[in-house]
Amino acid sequence: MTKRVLMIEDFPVMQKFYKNALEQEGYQLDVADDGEVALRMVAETDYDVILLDMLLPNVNGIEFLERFSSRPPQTKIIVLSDFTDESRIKRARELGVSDYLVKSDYPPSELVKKLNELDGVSATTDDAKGQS
Amino acid sequence: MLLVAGVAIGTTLLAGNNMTTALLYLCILIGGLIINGLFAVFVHVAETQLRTQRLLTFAQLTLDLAMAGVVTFVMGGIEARTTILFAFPIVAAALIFHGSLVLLVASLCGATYVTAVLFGQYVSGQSIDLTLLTVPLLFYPAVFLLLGQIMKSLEHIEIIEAREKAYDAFLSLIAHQLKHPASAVTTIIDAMDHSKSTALDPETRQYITMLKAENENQTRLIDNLLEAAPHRHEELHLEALRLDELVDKIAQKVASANERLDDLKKMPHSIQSEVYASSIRLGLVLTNVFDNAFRYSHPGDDVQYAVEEDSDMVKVLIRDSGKGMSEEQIAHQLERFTNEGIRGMEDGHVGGLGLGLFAASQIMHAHGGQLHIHSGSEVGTTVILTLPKEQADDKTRTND
Repeated sequence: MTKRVLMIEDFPVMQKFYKNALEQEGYQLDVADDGEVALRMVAETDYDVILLDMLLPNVNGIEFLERFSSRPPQTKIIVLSDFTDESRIKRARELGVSDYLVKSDYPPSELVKKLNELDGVSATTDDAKGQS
Repeated sequence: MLLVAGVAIGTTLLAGNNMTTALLYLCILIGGLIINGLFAVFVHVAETQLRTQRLLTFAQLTLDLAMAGVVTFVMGGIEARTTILFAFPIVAAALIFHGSLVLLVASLCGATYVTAVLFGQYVSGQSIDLTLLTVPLLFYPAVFLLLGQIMKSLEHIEIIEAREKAYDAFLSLIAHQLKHPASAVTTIIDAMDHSKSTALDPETRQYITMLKAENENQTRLIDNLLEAAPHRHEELHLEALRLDELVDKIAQKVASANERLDDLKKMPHSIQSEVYASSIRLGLVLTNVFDNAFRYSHPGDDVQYAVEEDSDMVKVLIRDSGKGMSEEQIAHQLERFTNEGIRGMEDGHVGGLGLGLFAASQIMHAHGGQLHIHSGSEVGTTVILTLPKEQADDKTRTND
């Protein structure tokens, strides 16, 4: 089944190249320019993965996480940001982020690998749970 | 200050105190002058090293306080009540003002005090031994100068701390601003490198490889600038990770970026344990150390690495066979913005500020680990990173 991904990112260059790479790999990618728009989108659609930038206009990454409290259990939120402040990482983790990735370490090709890897890991985990 | 000290000694003798007490005052005052003068010279010599300046100023403040204590104790024996009455407004003034202003306030207070005593004498008609007043009036200003010096030291510490914070905030701001376009360039290069729509000719591919390597260098420089900030690692978020896997990944990545994959030699790992660490920061430490190993050794020479564990610690060893470093060079590598580095940059003789190993060392300390460098001329360099093995229930530990 096609995985639905929401990318919350205001920088057009990032939007364009990540969208290309993910769609080539079969992901269905929607893009939100800021946290406010993203909150409306997640209210209407259940996404499998949300890629979240931290520095955003109107509603920033942390505010988005605070306000997106009733999230579906299957939705994985992955931060993809330039910011590596420990306080921000800690807060994001507290608010349910599964991975905090740095943009320079995860260009499109690496992010695709990471998402494929996560898919594999969750499938294996589900299998293991089913057997126990 | 010397003049005040001289007057103080004279008035002490006039007021009937013995020569030993006068000499004690003189020693304290001259000693204070010499010590404070020496500290001022050291602080000036320390130039851009804010941490050293701050340590020196703290030491100066401690000594000043000790001396002030001795002086107050000695004075208390002469005229305790007058001291308290007279000192009270001036201590308050010293807390508000500082330096020579305290002397002015002390003199004004003294003049008011004398006027009040003389007026009291005139009104009551009682006779007062005026020589007793000379001690507080002429000697105390010297003491209050010392007090002023203490306030000045406190202010100096505040200035240094404010400078340090402003400097770090500025560096962080610059680094964040630089990181944004650098990430965009990383993304574009990655898209070009992995483009499926157009076949790249060998020359263009070579340019892309060069561009990628330079951009990675720039990104790491920005990261090091950010990570070198002193309060950066006070609140580390630790996560369970397999150190051997992270080391393998970074080693491959850096060797590939340096086009030295054939020179990378992995020693067999037998490690099973996880460590609790910040993968982002540990990744930067490993990138810095591996990059140095490739950068300072010749193509064709091995860069070996191993991950080992004992009962308490997990250890990463990275060894190159480059030209090595002297003890002095190692010490400089672990300092932040050394004078040597800054002077070198001004002369146009240096390739960087050498922040990489400093940042790496800071990060290892923040994890409760260490970074050791063993090196010698022509024998190469071995960097040993140690991390404590932690129990699962320690994984929420932070350094806040």
